[in-house]
Amino acid sequence: MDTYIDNRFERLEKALANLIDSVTKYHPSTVQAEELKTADDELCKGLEEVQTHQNNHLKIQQLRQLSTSLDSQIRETLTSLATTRKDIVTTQVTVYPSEPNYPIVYEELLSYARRISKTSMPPSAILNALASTQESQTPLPDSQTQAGMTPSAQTPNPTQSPAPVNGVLPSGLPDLSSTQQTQTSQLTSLPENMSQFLNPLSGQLFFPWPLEDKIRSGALASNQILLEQGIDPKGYDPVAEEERKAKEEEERKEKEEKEKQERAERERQRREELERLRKEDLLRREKEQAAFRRASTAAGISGDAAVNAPPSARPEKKQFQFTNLDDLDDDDDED
Amino acid sequence: MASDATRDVSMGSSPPPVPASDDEPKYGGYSRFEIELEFVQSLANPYYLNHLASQKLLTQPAFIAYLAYLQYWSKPPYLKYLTYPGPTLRHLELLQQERFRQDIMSPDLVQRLVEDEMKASVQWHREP
Repeated sequence: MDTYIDNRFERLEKALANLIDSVTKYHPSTVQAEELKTADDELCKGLEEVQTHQNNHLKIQQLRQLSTSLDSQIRETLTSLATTRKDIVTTQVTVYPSEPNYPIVYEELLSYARRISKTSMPPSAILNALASTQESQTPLPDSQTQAGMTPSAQTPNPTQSPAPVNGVLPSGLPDLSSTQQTQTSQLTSLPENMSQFLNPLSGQLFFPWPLEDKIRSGALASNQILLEQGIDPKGYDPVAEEERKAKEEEERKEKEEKEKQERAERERQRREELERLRKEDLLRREKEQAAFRRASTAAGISGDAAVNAPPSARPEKKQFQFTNLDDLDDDDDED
Repeated sequence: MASDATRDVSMGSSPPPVPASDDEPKYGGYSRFEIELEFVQSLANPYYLNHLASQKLLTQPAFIAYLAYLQYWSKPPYLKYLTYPGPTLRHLELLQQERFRQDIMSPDLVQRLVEDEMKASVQWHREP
């Protein structure tokens, strides 16, 4: 492009120079003037061409830039696509177990946690004691270990007061550099015999399993005892057995009571019967006596009295029997 | 003690109902559920395991079958009745292994179990 425009310039310059020459010689030629004009026109055209050329160049540059940016964009997209794919492939997918799963009821879970809290975790007193011993065992110069231990020792129980920890510190670390801390800790910690009153759980041992005495007092042990007594525990319920015995006892008593009542009733009936008999007897005797009296008065004969004496003697005898019976009756009443 | 239960209950049958129904036969006043719950939790005690081993129970095929049967305690709805879930389930699992059943005779293993589980009971809730 340079040579192309240079030629035009040269031609213009030459034409111009020739024209100037001719003008200076006072002999201007129209031919040269025409030549200059065409050269100038050519140059103008050439310049226009240069302009389009430059524009094209700019455009090309722009396009190149665009293409590189697009290239980078494509590359980025591709790399992101690749990484995304990798991510997707490597993502941990929740694998649902093939075993049957069970719905967990929130309240049930909480109540279970509350129930097993006593048996699955030692009381906080033991934990505190453990934490403080751990701390005291940590060598002091090794500050990094201590820093590592301290949070683990104190975080589990936020309610834990600093007193027990401090109370152990003076004995565990006699060479404690800061004497001030030792002094304050001595002031804040209680003597051991007093702290036992405040925390009755402090001396307790914890086992995460049932102890022997519990096993020995359980259902299996009681069944073993039954077996040793020669009782088949199957279908045998000591409580029901106890109840059954108590019931039997009660029934027996009730029966006795009933019998007693019946006996008393019989006795009463017998007495009533006797009473009735006696009354009848009395009535009959009175009637007889009346009849006798009537007969005697009707007869009015003293000689007959001797004949009639036996009847009068008979009631007398009866009377005797009667008193005898009466006596018996009295005896019965006393019973 | 436990071998009595194996004699009385056929282990092929399903685990006892929860809660025990009234018409279920009782053993000394206790339902099968109660007795088996008690026994499976007794297994949490390492000394008791040692005692069972010393009674030569852990080598009896019937007892081993009973231990396999007791595994229903590791699944709902029975799971939530375990008061000592950690050691109970661990021992129940270990007892399924022939090797463990033999080794529990040794007091060393008992001691190690005791130490491990005591430590675990203190440490388990501290882990992040």
